[in-house]
Amino acid sequence: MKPRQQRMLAVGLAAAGIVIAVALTLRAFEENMMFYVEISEIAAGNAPQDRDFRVGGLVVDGSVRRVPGELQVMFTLSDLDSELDVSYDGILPDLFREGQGIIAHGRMNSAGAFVADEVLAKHDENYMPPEVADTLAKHAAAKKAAMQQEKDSEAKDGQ
Amino acid sequence: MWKFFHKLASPPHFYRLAPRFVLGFGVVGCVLIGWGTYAGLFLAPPDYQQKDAFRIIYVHVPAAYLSMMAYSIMAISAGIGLIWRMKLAHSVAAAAAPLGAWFTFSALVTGAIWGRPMWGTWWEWGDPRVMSELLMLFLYIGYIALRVAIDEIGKADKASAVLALVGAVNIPIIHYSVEWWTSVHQGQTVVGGKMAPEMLQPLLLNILGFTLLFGAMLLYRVRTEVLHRERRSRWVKAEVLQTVGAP
Amino acid sequence: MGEYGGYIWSSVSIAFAVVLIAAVQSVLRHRAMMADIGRRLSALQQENDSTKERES
Repeated sequence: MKPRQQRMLAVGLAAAGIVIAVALTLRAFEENMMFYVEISEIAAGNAPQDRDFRVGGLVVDGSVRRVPGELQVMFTLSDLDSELDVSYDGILPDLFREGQGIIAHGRMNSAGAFVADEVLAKHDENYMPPEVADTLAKHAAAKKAAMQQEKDSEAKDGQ
Repeated sequence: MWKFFHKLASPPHFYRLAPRFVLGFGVVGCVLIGWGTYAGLFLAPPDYQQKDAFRIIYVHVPAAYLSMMAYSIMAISAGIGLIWRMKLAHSVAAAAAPLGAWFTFSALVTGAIWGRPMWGTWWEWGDPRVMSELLMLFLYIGYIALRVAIDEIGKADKASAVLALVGAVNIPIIHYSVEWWTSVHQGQTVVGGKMAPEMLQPLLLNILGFTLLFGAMLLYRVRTEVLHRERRSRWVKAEVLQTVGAP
Repeated sequence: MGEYGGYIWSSVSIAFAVVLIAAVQSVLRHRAMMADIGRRLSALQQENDSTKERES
């Protein structure tokens, strides 16, 4: 083997070893530090007890209730499958509102609700002017209405 | 073609050829950044969700992109230097490190300023994107420290090249962190094409502009590295006498 | 810029300042290297001159 090929092999082997080591570290990292639980998991009764974890979901429309004169806020999170009641005592990010995706950090209380000590807003990677967003929303609504109409007329035809 | 590259890889030729590119890249880069930043801050419409706060993207994304670009250049050059024993490659790796460290710092700070109003926190310890980017800053600092610590330049080249290659596994982790884990950092914007064109265009201008400026600074620093390595050679002495003036 | 003006301007100025610092640092390093080699050269030359004088 030529010296250059030897060096190449050494670099390659070292790189492979590192990749394996990092992959293993990442798995451990994923299971512990990044402890993230799906809402449907919690609904199924698999919520971790006595430890902090993260949940993520959309704030359900009309679910936000505030205690007058206090920072205390209660809302419901949904992952479009199951729901979870969350209570939080602190300052909410500017982006927090109904329909917004958020990440909450905290733990379950004995009543089966999630008590958050941190609420972060998660905005998506789409950027567009407000007019475009409005138009998109209108189109979506119109499409939905048209589909509904079609269904209705189909149902009538069937009768 | 090959002849051109061979010539370029010879230190004196590189040294004499580089200033033209440094000047060209630098000037064009500055013009593009000026144009892109103006368009991004004043002409682009506000975002439907984040309103004006999204404008931080025009400096955050170029810095974050270049922080990874610089690391890739550093790691690939270090690998070439290690395997083919090419000295100019080691010079490129050594020159890329401080620039990459600065862009990483910039990405972290502008990201924190963006995170405060939007996410609701300056700093999120649990976010994999933030953490892997921070790890890269430490890798850069480690690389620079290692080079400073070893006096003999050949040994410094080898040891730091190994560190650069080891740290390269962090690059795909940074890139895919937003897909692999659910956390607060948003997904990829530029590659997915999920940005309105009048908002995307200034961002592309700034990415190109900052990249050109980075290229100019990289070539300039490689020149300094070459000067240092060849300080005992005749051409460097002639070059220095010409610039500093005869003693 | 509205309510986010402070955040936007501080991040933009930090990003520009960092690039400026990187550029200035690069130029200073090059100048220092040039001056260092120049100093060594003149020291070498002086040594040469003095040996020549002694020889003659």
